[in-house]
Amino acid sequence: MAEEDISQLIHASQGRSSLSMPLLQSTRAFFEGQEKGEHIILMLRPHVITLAPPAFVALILFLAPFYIIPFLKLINIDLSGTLNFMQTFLIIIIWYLFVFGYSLYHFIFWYFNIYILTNERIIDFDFKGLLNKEISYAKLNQIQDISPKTIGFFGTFVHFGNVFIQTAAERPEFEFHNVARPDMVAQEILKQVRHEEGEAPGEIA
Amino acid sequence: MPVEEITNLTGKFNTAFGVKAFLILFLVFYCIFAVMLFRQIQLMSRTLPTVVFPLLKFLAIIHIGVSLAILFMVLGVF
Repeated sequence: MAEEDISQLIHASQGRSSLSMPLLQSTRAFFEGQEKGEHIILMLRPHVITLAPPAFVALILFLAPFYIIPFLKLINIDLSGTLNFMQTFLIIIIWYLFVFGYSLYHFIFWYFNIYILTNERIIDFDFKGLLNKEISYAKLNQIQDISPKTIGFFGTFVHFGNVFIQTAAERPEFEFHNVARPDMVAQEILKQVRHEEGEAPGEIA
Repeated sequence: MPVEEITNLTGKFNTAFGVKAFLILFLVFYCIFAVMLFRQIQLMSRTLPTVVFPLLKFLAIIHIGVSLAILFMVLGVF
């Protein structure tokens, strides 16, 4: 299968929603520190399905005022005696602001976890929290071992999993978490490693 | 004024004051969270620009604005 086809297939399997469309275009994108002649072959994020648990929690939080207020009335707690209409309204607005913040945070957390395979190296943008961001690089000729792993019901059903990459770089192990089609990703990395091994040292092609 | 009414009045005052103090503290931290979220988006858009970043930036700015507006409303209304 041609390199472009594999890349398109892996990118397409991350979903065809408007949010994942930039992923398709991003192989023509660039990143900070990109060398001349270096191009992005794969740009991956965790599978869209990994957003399902936070989306479900967000939905429960979104609906909370609809079941909490009747529940409080049921156990004879009446807030209208203590707080006026405007105050109650503000508390509900603050609640929805919190729900929006929660959703945005989880979306950004997902969106910023990026794994890039270029014709020269692999790059792992790890967004571990609001204050904790880590970017790791490893040259393709430093890669020693690649093992894709699909675990669990959803992993098997939706076809996503982890790709473990052993390297001789400063960081000995890279993990591409919950990426779509881990076997094809591993195959593509191996192909690029072999291609890199055939090049003269320092050559970018 | 009967003692019960005074006690009720104090209870109401304390509840409203407690709710106000909690909301202000919550919103102050929330505004810091919103600014940090915006800053992360800004930094990532420099590291790896994609077509969604302008929209994310816009959302983050709106998020900060709304958080601040609600903070001032709580200060005024409660």
